[in-house]
Amino acid sequence: MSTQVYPSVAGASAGTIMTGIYGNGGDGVLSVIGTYSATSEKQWQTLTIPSGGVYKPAGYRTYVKGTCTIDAGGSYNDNGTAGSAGGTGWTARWWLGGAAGTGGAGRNTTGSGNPGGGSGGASSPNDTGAAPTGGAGGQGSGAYLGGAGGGAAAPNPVVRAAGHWYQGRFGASAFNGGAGGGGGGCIVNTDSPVSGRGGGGAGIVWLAAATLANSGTISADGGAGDNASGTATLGGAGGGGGGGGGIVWVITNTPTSQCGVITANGGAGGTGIGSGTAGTTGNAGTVCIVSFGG
Amino acid sequence: MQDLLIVPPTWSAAEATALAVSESCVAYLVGIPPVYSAQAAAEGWTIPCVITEDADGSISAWRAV
Repeated sequence: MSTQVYPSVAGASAGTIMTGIYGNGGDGVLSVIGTYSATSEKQWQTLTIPSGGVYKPAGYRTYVKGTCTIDAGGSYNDNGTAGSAGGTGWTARWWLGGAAGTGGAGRNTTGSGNPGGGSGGASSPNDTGAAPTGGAGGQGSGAYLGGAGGGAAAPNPVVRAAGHWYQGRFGASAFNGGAGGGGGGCIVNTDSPVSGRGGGGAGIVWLAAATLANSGTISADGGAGDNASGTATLGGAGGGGGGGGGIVWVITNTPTSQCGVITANGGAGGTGIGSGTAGTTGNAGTVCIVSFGG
Repeated sequence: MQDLLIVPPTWSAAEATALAVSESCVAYLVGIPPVYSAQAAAEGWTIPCVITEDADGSISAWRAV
């Protein structure tokens, strides 16, 4: 995973100059108890995610005028879906979230694994560079091999983000999520192995918080590939490949070194059974941190 | 569609969390947010209350608790 840090505006006045980037706080003071899914862009006064709380931005930008607190065990994420949970990719979402790929299905007959879906979506009307394309889905690379990991989100998001990080809003499907992992291959003899399904690709996260107190996680990680299952005394079945990582932008006055755990990892590959091999880890995405605190 | 609890600013986090859990809310707001103030006034919201947020971000219902 590449992490790009932009202390873009030097000097003590930088945070003051950029106050507007953190929104007006009009959506109030929110504390998450279970799993909260954003239904639009939100401009919180403060946002608190305690242990066990999950904030799903669902492709929308999030602004926090004051402090965004994420306690240990709390999560702000647009992670991909695990293969064991279906590996379904995210559909294209306004404003940020292009589609993420779906993991390739597992199989219970002899043959190569199903490829994972690539991420998709139209390019942004504001995009002056190459249209973002998600990585290709992983292929089941052999009759009993684990699926390959899905490709990461847009191929050169750092360059594109450098010109647009402050805006984030591009248009529907501006940035594509990670691709899905491939399903594992399978060889059936007298028993009944089932290869693992690939994990879904991750989405896009954009968070601007004046102060970030993150003891939990901020992430756009690919979904894990599913493990192969059944029995395989003679044959075998491969595990599913992990989904590709997405893109995370964080904009804050908090120093980069104090921003905590922020990831866009590829999903882990699932394990094989019999002669089947494990799926491959998905490709890592990109984390971009813009800190006015150094 | 998801339910959010709105509590008075004087409530502690523990009080708000306990009621949010018992009312099956995914989160709680402290006070009526500015973005909902006009709708709250028009519909006579009292707090604490539970509001239902639809998939399009609109508040389709509220109930006192």
